[in-house]
Amino acid sequence: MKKYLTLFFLFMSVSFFGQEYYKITYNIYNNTAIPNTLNAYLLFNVKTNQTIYKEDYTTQKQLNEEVNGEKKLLIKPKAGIDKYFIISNDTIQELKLLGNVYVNVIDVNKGQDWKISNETKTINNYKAIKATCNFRGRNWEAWFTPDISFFSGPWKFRGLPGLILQINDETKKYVYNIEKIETIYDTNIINEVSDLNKKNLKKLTVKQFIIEDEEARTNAFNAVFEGRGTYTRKKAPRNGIELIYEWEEQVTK
Amino acid sequence: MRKLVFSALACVAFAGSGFASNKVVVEKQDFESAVEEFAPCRVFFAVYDGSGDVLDYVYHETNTPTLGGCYAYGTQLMLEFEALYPDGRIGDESINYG
Repeated sequence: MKKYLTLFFLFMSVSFFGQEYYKITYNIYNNTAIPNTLNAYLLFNVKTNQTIYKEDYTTQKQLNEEVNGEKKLLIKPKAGIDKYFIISNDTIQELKLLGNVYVNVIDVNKGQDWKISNETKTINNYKAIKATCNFRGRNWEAWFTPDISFFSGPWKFRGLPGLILQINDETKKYVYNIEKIETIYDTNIINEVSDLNKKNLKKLTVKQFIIEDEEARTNAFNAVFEGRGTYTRKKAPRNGIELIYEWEEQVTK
Repeated sequence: MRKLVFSALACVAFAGSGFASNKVVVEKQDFESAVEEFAPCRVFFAVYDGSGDVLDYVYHETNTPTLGGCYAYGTQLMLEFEALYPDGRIGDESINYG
């Protein structure tokens, strides 16, 4: 019996690692001012080593519809605003909207500086090991499995010796949980990225994007209120997933 | 020249007589529109990013003739903003009239 079991697991592992394409689905929980969830997909091509990650805003759902005692739906699923990440060794190209036009934001960050601990737990039948890091102003706790040798994870996380199954910041404001692993080739996502790339998107650094995105929002406000009189705009302090960038840290040091 | 001055005076007199004959009605209409035009329409909304984090708070005030007009005006502003900045989500909107 033991022999058959060993053979079975050997067959399973060969069939898993013998596959060419993988699609890993994550569920993102944003515990922000408007708590919401959405799906994200990590695609991996073993042959070409191509890694693509997509955040799918058509799957977004608001969790708490009550705002100040009123039932209000502020976050609605939206088409045409999805974010795509093309991940390579040196860069992450993020294809996302600047105003109402897609641009290619090139992040030269080489991944996170992880500390791997001895703590383990089981996630979706995989043995997971805990690792921690600080990335752009937030402390993160990740659980990865060395059983799946993709050195990647959701969003910009990578560099661990195995696939990230679960990751959250210490305040649990941003939480990513693995939902499923499939051995399929998702032509839709590949084509979406390919179609965007054909458009010769404007290339920007992260720093340039932050400046131009701020300008795009200001221009949008100015265009809307042109001929309609004055308006008052109060900017909220930065409180997103990235709190501080490398060039800002250098200034403060 | 004298003819031209006379013509101009005649025009003013004619116009004046026209206004004089409809004096009550015109004054009533003017009064009503004056009251409507000066009703303030206040529009407030917040802009969130795709994750649900707030980016901006916006306040604008104008004058509209009716409550319905104020609501339509405020909604139009937000729709126009969303078309120019689709990644932003409009929330906490408040439209206050009068």
